[in-house]
Amino acid sequence: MQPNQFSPPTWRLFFMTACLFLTSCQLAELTDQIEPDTWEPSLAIPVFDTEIDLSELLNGNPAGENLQTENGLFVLIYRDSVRFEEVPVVAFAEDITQFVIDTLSFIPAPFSQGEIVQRIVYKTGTLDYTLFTSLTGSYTLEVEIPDATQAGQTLKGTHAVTGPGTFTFSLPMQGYDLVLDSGFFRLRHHLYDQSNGMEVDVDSLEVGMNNSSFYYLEGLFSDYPLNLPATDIEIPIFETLRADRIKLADPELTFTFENSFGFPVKLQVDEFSLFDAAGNKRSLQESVLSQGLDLNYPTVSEAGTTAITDYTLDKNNSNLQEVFSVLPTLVRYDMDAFASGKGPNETPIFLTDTSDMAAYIEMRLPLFMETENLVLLDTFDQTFDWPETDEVKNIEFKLVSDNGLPLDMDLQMLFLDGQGQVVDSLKEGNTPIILGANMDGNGEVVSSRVSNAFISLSPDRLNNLRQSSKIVVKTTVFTTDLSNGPVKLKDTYKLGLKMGLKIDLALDITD
Amino acid sequence: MQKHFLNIYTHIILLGLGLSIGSTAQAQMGIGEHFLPRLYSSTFTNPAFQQDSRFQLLLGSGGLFALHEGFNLGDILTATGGNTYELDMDGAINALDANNLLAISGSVTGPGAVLRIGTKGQIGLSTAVRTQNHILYPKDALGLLWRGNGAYIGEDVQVGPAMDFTTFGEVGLSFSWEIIKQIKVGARVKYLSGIQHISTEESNLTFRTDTTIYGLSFTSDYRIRTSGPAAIDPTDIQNFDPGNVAPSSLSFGGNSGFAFDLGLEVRPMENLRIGASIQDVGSINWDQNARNFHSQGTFAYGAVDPLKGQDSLGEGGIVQRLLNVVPEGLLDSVIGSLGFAEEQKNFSAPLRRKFNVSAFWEPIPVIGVGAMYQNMTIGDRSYQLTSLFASVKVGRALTLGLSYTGGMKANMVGFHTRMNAGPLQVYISADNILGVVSPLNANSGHIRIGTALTFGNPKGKSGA
Repeated sequence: MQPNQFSPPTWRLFFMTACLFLTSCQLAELTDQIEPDTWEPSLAIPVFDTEIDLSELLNGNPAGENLQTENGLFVLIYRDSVRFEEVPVVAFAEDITQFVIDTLSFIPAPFSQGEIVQRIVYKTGTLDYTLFTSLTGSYTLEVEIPDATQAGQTLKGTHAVTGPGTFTFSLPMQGYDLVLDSGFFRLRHHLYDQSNGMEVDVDSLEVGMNNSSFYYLEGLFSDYPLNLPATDIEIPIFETLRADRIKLADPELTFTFENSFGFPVKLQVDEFSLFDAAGNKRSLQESVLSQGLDLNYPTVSEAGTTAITDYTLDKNNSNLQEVFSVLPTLVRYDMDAFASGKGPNETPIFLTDTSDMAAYIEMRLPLFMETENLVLLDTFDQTFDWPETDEVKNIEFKLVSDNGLPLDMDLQMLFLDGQGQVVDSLKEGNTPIILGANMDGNGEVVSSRVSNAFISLSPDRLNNLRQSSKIVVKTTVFTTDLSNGPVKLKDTYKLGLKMGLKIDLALDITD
Repeated sequence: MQKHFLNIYTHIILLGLGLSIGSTAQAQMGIGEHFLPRLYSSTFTNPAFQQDSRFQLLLGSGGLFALHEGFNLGDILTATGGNTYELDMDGAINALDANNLLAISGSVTGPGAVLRIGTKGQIGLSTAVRTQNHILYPKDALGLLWRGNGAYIGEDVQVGPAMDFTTFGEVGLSFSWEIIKQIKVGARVKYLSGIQHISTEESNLTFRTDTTIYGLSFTSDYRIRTSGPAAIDPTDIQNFDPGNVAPSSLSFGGNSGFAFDLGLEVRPMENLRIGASIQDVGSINWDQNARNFHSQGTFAYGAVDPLKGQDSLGEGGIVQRLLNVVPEGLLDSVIGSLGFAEEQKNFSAPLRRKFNVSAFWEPIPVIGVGAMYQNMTIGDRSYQLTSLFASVKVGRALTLGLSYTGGMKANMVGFHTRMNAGPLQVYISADNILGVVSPLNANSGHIRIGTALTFGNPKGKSGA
């Protein structure tokens, strides 16, 4: 064999060398032998960063347009009004008919209730009269009420008749101002012979006033009760709220009465009650409305105007502060009024066909308040795509608040199963995680306060969360620095919220 | 989204582990090729070297070199008895330098030929396709991948890897001449044709997770250059489909360059050879689909504001709206937020330069010992390797060699063999046989296998 030729031992040595490299293939099996075989990175990511002012926060709340601002302060304002369901008729005009004989007769006012009517301005009505004559020939009939004038002219009718016969005439009284003397007005009539101009006697003249109504009525009348309907005011914003304690600093209840009747009215509140969501009732206690409030009214010389009476209840003259502490969802009130038919010292009163009386109620609840454990509840479907729990060791939310609201807040989430049962919650306890702003002694915010809160979700809790069908968000609110009194909720106050998420994973590296 | 996000991390980590494992299986610095006798490829490491055969035809050779400067599998996995290993990635990361090299290169050479000219000269022609790839990654980048950014809250983390992935073809013409009996000089001029290139020109990229709510931000001065038939967009690398690149476009194309090797051999004694060479001095001008992507500035990915632009909080109120915020597309947003600006701009990139000094002594004809110092320039860093070599000839047909190499955080024992069967020559050279015997403890690997036909071997001539 030549030394540089192929020899079996040489090749064997060469191939043994080559096969050494194949041992590295064993490495492929290593991944099955590694313990622990998990990769446990911790990921931290930002989730949201937002700022919202109190106006936006309250936008769309059940109070709707009832939530307004006054100099930046939020005020819940509820208004209601009632009017008399019927025009109070303190005097009734009746149809009258009587035969007159004398050419000048005194006719009583068309009232029969003991009123002493002194003046009437007719809106409707007719003066109807029927002449019967046995005379033959042509005659002229004149009928006049000298006490009824319109634009300087008396109410007067002139008619040609040819007798004998019966003749009926009617004069409209609309717009005539009839002034009565001791309840009577005068009526004159004359019948003239057209052939010689001589006055002749009438056989009979029947006079009536029919279908009378008036624009204006003046005199002395009877007293008259005015019934106002009972009314409810709903306050839906409080329907979803619960609180261990709430105290509004300056609730006000203002009554405004508009009266264009020219007579005295005494108004009395029969009931003013507030009901909370559970139906519990609290009654308003004060001393004026329950005893009767005399309303202003226009005098005869002020006829056509409206007199206004304002009356305000607050914490100083009522238990208003107390009754509103129940977070009322319904306010019910019922008032009665009593109209006097005479003015003081038997002075005449008046009424017109447009006289009106209305009561306006304004309930002003400035959100200048103290509260403890005020709870807001909200429920929505759980549709989030939470990660698989077998890959998660822990999830930790970091909530950073920059709170310019004078409210300490706690956020809790309750996880409900399909039957509505609570299966778990976001955290334990209800310690506020968002601390309220720094305050001055007047309930005003001086500066915002930054708080950090960490909320962890263990795999078990995360699993419960994933299996829940609904989430109830329970926000518990405390006004900041309770010992320092009420705080003001203003539209410029802002709440900054930021959230980061840190998730500790345990991933199978052989997967 | 989150699953996708994690999968990307998983794949990166496993890729790193895989490369580490792979590198131990296939190892090189070229020590065996340099010292084994009668190898055509020794002229690649020093063009002054001359073959003792009249003519050699290189049929082909292929080799891979891989090195992970940071850690090896043994640093990550500790045997706990039985067939199990305890994973200690944190310990391995802690032991890393601030920046760590992961390099993989390979080449396929041939066909080629070398011809002796008279007794003093030698010319050669060579062809090769070479790929040189490395990533210089910061320690904290790997820490960030393994531990997640939750472990680095409030810290500025350097994450920008410097990288260079270059694949090119070359045609080389070499010449060696014996000036005097003791001195030979040689040179190789190489025409280069760039195939594909991705590199970073600037690699400053700092990642920060804010302490407040973990807002993410990058501060960058990061420039990536790409060129080649595959118009790669590194900012959209996940959508790159290699299948869209026509194989024909990978042949010698529009990116050209030149490089040269220089060599010197001094033989103060007949059985002592001292050599010095410098390789790959040159560069490639990258013109084909040349793209520059530059990100400079600070780019933040903050939290979304779910209430912005909303007329109302809507049904469910603020809490539901806030909770509906899911960090969809977080990773895409973060990468997209780097604000890469693209510029079509040709560029030039140098090859990875290497400088060698070696000595080989044959005290007796069948035994040889050598030493070698290598300096490699990778990126803007230099790496040094020192090797010792010993070989024994088993007849004229077989040479076996062992080597030890230290440097680049590695202690490597190599094994090399060359065998001739008639004109057929086959060799296998591995610079780190420990990586095969004990793959867990290997940081690097090299292997090259080649075959050639040799003609006109003068009897009695020693190899190298």
